[in-house]
Amino acid sequence: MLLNLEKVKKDYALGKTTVHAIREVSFSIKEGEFAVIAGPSGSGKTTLLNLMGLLDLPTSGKVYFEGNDVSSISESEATNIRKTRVGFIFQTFNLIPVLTAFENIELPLILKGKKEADREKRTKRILKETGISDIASHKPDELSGGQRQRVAIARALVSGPDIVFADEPTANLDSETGMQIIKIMEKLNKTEGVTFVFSTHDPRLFKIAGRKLELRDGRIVKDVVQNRNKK
Amino acid sequence: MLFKTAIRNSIKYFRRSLVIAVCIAISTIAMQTMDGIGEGFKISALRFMLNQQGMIVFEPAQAEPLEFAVHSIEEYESIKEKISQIIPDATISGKIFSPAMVVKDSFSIETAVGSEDDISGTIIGEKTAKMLDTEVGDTVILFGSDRYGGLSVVPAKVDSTAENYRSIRNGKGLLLPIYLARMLLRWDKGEVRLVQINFEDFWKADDYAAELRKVFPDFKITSWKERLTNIEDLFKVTDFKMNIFAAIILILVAGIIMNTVLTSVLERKNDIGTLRSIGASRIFVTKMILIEIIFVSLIGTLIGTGCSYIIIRFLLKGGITLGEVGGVMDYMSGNLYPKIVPLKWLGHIVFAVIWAVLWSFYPVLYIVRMKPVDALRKTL
Repeated sequence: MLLNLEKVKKDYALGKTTVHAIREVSFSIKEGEFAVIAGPSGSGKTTLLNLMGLLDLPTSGKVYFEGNDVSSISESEATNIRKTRVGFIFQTFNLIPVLTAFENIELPLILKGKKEADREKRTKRILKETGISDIASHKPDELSGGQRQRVAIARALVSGPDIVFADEPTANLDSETGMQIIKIMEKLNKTEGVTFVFSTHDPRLFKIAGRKLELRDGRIVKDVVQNRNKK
Repeated sequence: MLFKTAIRNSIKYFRRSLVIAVCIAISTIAMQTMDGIGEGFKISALRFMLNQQGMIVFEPAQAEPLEFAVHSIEEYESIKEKISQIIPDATISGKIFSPAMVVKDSFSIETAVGSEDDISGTIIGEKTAKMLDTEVGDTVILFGSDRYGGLSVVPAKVDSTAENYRSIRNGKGLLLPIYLARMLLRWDKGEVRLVQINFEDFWKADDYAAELRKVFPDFKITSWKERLTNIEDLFKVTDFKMNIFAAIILILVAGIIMNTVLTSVLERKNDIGTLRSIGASRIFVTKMILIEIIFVSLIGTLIGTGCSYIIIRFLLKGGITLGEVGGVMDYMSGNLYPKIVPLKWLGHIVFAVIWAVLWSFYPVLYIVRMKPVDALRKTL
């Protein structure tokens, strides 16, 4: 089991009131899975992804990453896991505006301390795989939404993570581009074996995923394994 | 990548970078200009004082302060010649101190002696002249004690009132030419009590004094550094005033820098959150922001140094009258000229950069200590 959540709870203090964003959620993610977290806005999708991606720690409950309890690890330990094992794709792309597409993709490799020749080789390969070699020297503000999201996917995958979390990766894209992005992710899942967990409330994307976790008011209300070839 | 990102960020957020650069430029100008004026003052004051007191003083070895009339230097002219050989640009003057008293009723008036290079006739202070009811052209009778302890009397014609010779202690004294002093003391021609040696580069005083000691082992030879050991304390007052002014500017600038950096990092917190979420450590982000601050500050210091140089060059043209510096010494006259000490200016550049980094630490720590998930939120 790559990732295992046991009775994970996340509360936020909002003034004097406490918001229960995630309420005792338990489930597992296997290696090579292509899972979608579905649910309406405010259901806790982003919070859940943040907890799974070690961007945040749970209020209670346990998160296991490859069998190791990571629910109360230090910030530097979490940073190290994010750097070496996890990739992130954001709804708003979150590319560094002053860096070119190539440099944005290369960044995780720099953080990992890879040598320049290795970085260049890997970056060029992922640029090719995501079909954006021609825009490598462009800065984010010179790219369309779809191109930016491809760059973000390439950045998430370049360092060879075990799992990639994508928070509504198609929300800021038109439906056709959104579908293309999901297809790229699906292809990389199949060819590279990378585990993908993404959130969306677009019903068309549910069918592509191999597993659908439905979240409502911070609870998993449905966990369905699907036939991935069904369109 | 760190440098590249930092430099590109400083260009992208140009206005904020400009504010920091201008703040640092102002700090640099304040420090360098104040230092330039301070150094100029020190050198002007020191030169003035040393010209009065002598950069090197040459006395009989056995001289005692109260026996000035007994111990004299008799071979003044030949000594003068030898000194000139050792110190080619030396200005040498023989001195005699306090040889006489001018008395009216029960008042005694302080007298001083000017060497042949300084004066040729008797100069009377304006207040003294008024008190004695004396005018230029009158003759005053001087009473003194000669070297044998007897009374000596010498008539001195008043040649001028104290206009130029530093006003003879606020107009209350009398300045005698050296030949009259010799007459009062019954000293021979060429006989003096003390020899003052001045030259252009007063920092060489110790070296010259050491050479002179070898040639004149029977004399007491002291450089100004040996005599005026507390001279630095005198300048601390000026330094203090200058430093207070610079410190006020630095404190004001610190607040602006901190505020600007805080605004800048908050504006970029999403980028910083992204970096943190893809595995950038706190140290990496800290380095990235600080490199940006250092880069912008260095540009600021270069602008500041350029401006300081222009200001100092401008001030060097006419000099600064001492009144403008604000209540400095009353024993100095004329203008002072600022001086650039390159090593100190380099120190100011380094200090200004450190100052900017220091006051950027709080905003930088604030943002890097933020959890990635909080940094990624759209609002604070």
